[in-house]
Amino acid sequence: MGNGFEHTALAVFTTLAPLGAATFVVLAAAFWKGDLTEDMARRLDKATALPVALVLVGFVAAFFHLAAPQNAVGVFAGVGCSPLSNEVLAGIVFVAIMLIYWVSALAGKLEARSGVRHGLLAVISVLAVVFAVFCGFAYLTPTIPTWNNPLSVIQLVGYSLLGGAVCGALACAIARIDLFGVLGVITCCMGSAGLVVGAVSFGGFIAACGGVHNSWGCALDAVPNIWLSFAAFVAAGLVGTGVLFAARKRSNMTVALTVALVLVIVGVFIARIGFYGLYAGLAL
Amino acid sequence: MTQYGFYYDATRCTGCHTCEAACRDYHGLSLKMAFRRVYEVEGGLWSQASDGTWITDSYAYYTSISCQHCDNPACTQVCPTGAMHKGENGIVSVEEKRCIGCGYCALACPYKAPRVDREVGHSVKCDGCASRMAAGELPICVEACSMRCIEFGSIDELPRGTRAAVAPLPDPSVTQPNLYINECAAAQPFGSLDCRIANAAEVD
Repeated sequence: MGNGFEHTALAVFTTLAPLGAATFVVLAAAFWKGDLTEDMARRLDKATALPVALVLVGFVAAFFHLAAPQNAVGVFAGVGCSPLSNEVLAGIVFVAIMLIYWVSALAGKLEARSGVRHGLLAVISVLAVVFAVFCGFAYLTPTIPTWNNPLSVIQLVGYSLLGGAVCGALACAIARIDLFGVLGVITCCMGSAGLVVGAVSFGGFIAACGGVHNSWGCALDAVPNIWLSFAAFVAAGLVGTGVLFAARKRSNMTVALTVALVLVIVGVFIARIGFYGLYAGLAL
Repeated sequence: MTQYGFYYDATRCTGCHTCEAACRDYHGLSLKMAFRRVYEVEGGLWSQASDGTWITDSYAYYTSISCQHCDNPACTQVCPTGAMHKGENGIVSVEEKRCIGCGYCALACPYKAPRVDREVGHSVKCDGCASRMAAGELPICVEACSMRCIEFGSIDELPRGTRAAVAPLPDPSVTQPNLYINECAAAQPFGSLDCRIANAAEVD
C-alpha cells in the first residue's frame, strides 16, 4: 500500500492533459460566438500555446512513468482489450487533431470565421471530453474495488471542465479578449459545473472507499487525511470559479486568472494523489 | 493444454522463508523484490474467564505464494502490449522486449505477483523457473523447502487441496488461481476481517 505519491507522474498526467484538452471548449466558444476579428483570432491562436503546453507536459509525464518508454509504440497492440491502450489511443487522436488545428491556425490557414476552424474546434471539443472519459475508464478494473467505480470516470470529467474553463479564460485574457456576454456565461457555467461534478464525485468516491476492506484493513486507512485533500480541491475550485465570475465583468484579469489556474491545478493534483492513495486490491 | 501450478501444504509450513530466500537468490533479486512471499496471518484473543483464568483462541499460520498462473489472469487482461501472456504450459510470464513497464499488471493482480523493476525496465514475476523447467528440474522454491510444503507440476497430477480460498488471499473465483492448498486447522476463509497480516513490512 502507498500514499499516492508513488504515482506522481500519473497524477501529473491526469491533472494536466484532460485540463488542457477541455480548454478547447472555451476556445471553441470564443470562435463560435462569431465576433472575433482576424487580429483577435491571431492573438488567441498564440495564447493557445498554453493549453497545448499543458497537454504535452501531461503526456511527457505519462511517458516518464513507464519503465521502458522505448517500447511505448507497442501499447496500440491492446486497443479494444486493454483500457490503458484505449486511453492512449483516445489521447493520441486528440493530440494529433489538436496539433493539426494549432499549427494550421498559427500558419494563418484558418480564418476566424471559417467553417473549417469551427468544425475542427467542434471535433476537438468532443475529443477532449472523450479523452477525459477514457482516462477514467483506465481505472475501472474489477480487481481494484476502490477504483472500480463510475465516479473514477466522472471525477476526471469534472476536473477537466473546471480546469479547462479557467485555462480557457486565461488564454482569452492573454489574447486581450474579454469574457463579457455569452462567452463569460459559458465559461462560468463550465467552471461551476466542473467544480460541482468534481467535488460530488470525489466526495462520493471517498465515501465509497470507506466501505472497502481487504487484508490490510479499510481502504481509507491508507490516506487518513483524504478529506483534507477534498477540502483543498474544493477551496481551489471555489477560488477558480470566483475569479471566472469576476472576469465576466472586468478586463485585465490575467494575473488573477493565472493565480486561479495555478491554484486549480494544485487542487486537482492533490485530489489525484488522494485518488491514487486510495488504491486497494481485492485482498492484498 | 497442460496447465502447471503449485500445491502448498499449510499443515507443514513453519514459516521459515527458505522458499522466498532461495527464489530471491536464484533469480538475483534485490531485497526490495520478491517473486515468492510468505504471509503470516494471525488472529484471536486472550480473554479472562469468571474463575480468573485466561483462555485464548489466538492462532497464526503461514501462506507462501508466488504467481498462481491463473486460468483467468487479471494481469494479462489489462496489459496494453500483450507482453504479459499465458504460455502453452499455462505459465504466465513477461515478454521482456514488449513490456513498457506501466505497472498496470502489478496494480490489477489480486495476488500482487508482478512487480515493475525499473532497473531492468520491465515487469518481473515468477515464471515457474522456466530455465529449470526446460532442463526437467523443479522450481527452486520447491527444491529449497525443507518441509516439502510446496509441489509443482501439471495441475491434474498435483495433490488436491482447496483452490486457494484462505485469508489473506482473494476469492479464488475471480482469477481461478492454479494454487491448491492443504489448509491448516487455523486457516481463515478468504475475505475474513477477523485476522490480520502480521508481517506487513516483509511482504508489502
